[in-house]
Amino acid sequence: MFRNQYDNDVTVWSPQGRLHQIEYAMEAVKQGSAVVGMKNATHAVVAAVKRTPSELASYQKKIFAIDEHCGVGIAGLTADARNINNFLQTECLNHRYAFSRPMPLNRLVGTLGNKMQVTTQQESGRPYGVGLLMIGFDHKGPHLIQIDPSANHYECKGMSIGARSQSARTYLEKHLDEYLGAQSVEDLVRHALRALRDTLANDQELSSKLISVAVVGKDHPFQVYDDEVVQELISVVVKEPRAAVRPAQSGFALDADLMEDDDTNRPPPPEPGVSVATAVDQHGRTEAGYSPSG
Amino acid sequence: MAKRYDINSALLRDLPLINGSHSSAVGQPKAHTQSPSVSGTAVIGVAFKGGIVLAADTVGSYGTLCKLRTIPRLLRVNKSTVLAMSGDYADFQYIEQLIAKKTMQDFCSDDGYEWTPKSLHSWLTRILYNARSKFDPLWNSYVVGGLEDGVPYLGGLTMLGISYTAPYMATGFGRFIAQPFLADQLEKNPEMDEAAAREVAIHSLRLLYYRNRESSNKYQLTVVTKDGSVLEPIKEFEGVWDTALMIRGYD
Amino acid sequence: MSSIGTGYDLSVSQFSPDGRVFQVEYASKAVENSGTVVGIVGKDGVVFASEKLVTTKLHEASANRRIWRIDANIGMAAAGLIADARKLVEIARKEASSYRNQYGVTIPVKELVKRVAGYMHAYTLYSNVRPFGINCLIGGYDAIHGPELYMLEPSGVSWGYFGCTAGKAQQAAKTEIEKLKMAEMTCEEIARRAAKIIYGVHDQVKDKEFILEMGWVCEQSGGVFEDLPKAMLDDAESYAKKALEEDEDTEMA
Repeated sequence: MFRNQYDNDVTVWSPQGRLHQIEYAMEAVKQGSAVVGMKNATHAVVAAVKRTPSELASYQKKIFAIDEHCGVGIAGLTADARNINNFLQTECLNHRYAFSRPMPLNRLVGTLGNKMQVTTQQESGRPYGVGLLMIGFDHKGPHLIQIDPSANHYECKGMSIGARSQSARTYLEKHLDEYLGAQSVEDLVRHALRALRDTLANDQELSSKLISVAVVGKDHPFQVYDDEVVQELISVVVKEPRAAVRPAQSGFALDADLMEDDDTNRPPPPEPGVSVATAVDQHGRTEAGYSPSG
Repeated sequence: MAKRYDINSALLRDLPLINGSHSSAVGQPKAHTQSPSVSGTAVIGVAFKGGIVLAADTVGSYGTLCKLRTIPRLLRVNKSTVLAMSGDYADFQYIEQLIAKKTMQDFCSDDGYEWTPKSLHSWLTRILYNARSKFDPLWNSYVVGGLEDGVPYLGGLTMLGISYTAPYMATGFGRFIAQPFLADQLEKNPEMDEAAAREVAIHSLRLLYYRNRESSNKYQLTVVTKDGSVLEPIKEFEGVWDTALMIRGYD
Repeated sequence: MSSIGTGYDLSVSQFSPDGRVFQVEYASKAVENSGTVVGIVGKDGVVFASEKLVTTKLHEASANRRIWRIDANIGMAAAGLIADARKLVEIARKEASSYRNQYGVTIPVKELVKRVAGYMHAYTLYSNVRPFGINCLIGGYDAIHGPELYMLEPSGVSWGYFGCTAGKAQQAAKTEIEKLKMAEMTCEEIARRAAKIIYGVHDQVKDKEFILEMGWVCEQSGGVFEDLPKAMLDDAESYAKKALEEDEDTEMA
């Protein structure tokens, strides 16, 4: 699929002043399964859908601890995320070593942003193909920060990235005041799970194997929850009726086509290449197929 | 008995120079500055109920010459953090400049994140330890003071990167002359208020003034309380030398 | 456009036969897609205003700042790719810090601009990088030079201004700025007028919501570059809304 002559390199501006390679890198985020994050006055949570390449394999890790006071949920190329996580962990450790206190989130993200920006301005290499939802707690309280391959980062109240994440964002916008004012961490987590549930395909349901949750907050070091704890957390939510699921599209469809109705002027995603290889199984889902995206 | 090797003491200057930084003799390790130049003597730190006070005289000695008589050896870092130094004055000015640079970075970030006594203490420890590990030490002892989350914090630091916290401390010659006095005072009055702490600090300087030829009666205090930090103007106390007549054997 | 398809517009290190570097021109297009920023020099300082477009209510109001402090008395505002702008902020802060380290005084705005513009220019020379997709306004105030304002372009060129603007409503904002007698105005007055300009040029149909962000450095701010104090920002915003309503009424009449 050859789109135009301006989309081969991140160093080439299109006549409209766009950088197609960055936009394509943003598409890679949508190949990963969904991650949802939100916060209230004291805590921030992130929840993610895990994928497995086969029934014989384990589920892919989606949430990573960075330091005691922060962690990230990722969507996109997992290997790129590892590189970023390593950087974030090193930054946090260095800060602790020097100042004996946790690194403020805005500064952590600022250094990461400027590291990522370099990959969007030079020919060698490519932009990162992963999006992050970082949660953390510092002297300013809880934080939720979205980080894109474009090296942009946004302080958020609630946010979702990855496959079908638009459904979750719809939930997050609708219930904004409810979770911002949530009185307990459990309430907050349940909102995250409901939002995440909306990103699942019709025939999928929240389960302890499929979902990872992490919490950080006041007097609450960053902690990832899996398996039994998740089972307990989802138990309430799964009993609730599901939100109306969008009608399935006929035929084969990439995740990216199913979502992002807010980005109608985006170019269609490029032909899957090495960086965004996606296996589409016979049901037209990527969830069950092998993908380097997490 | 081996000659006492005290890194903070003015005696150190009497140690032989190993070699200069420019010429390393064959077979000798590379060596950097191995002695201080213009230096300040002891500083005193005392924590009291609700704050801390640091005190220092204002002499910059060049050997035994009283070269500079009114140089500040206390630094107000921000509303919660202050610093006192003894040792090489140029090294202190270098540290001052590093602190100012970091302070400006914090200011530009505009995120309400700034020095606290603990973070400054930690950071200075890294710098001094790194320097000494390269055999190129910064020739200073520091006392960092202030309020950490509203709680008095007093941190000491030597040129070797040894760092510690204590409710009272003295550096240099003060460790021998003032520290026993401070220990005694704090034991008698563990819940010291600001006025008492100031008095104890000034008296410590006085004790040093009588015994240390590099000290002077010109001094400065800095106090941190919940109301903020204040670097006070340079003051002077009167020496009482009547007892000098009773000293025998030195004439 | 005569550039497209010629093959001379694909590299920043290549001239077209008529002597243009199209890649730099394309980079400027990125600026034109961005929210508008305005910088105005008054008699006692410099004021920045930015139209921060809000794309989703899930973002915090503080997200996506486009005005930054570079040194105690120097600020920067940018239109274009914000990630590029942040990188340039980092560069500018380092230059300001290094100058202070070497000379013991604050960097003159002109010197800072020279260094940052040089950096931007370097990214227009080599095919393995791309030009910065931003216009950046650098303004400062000090006792020796008084208030100063410069705008740097993707090409690496920079000019001094009494009032300048970049972003999607550049033309309209420029027309409005030209009406001001800024040399006679204090920053407090200018803050209101700048707010009015941003409110005036905002395209409510296309861009819906925005947040007005303002910064200044002047005598009143103690020579420090800072966010416009909350009370004054509120005042400027209500002035802007009221003044625009009045303008509309006069037009109707």
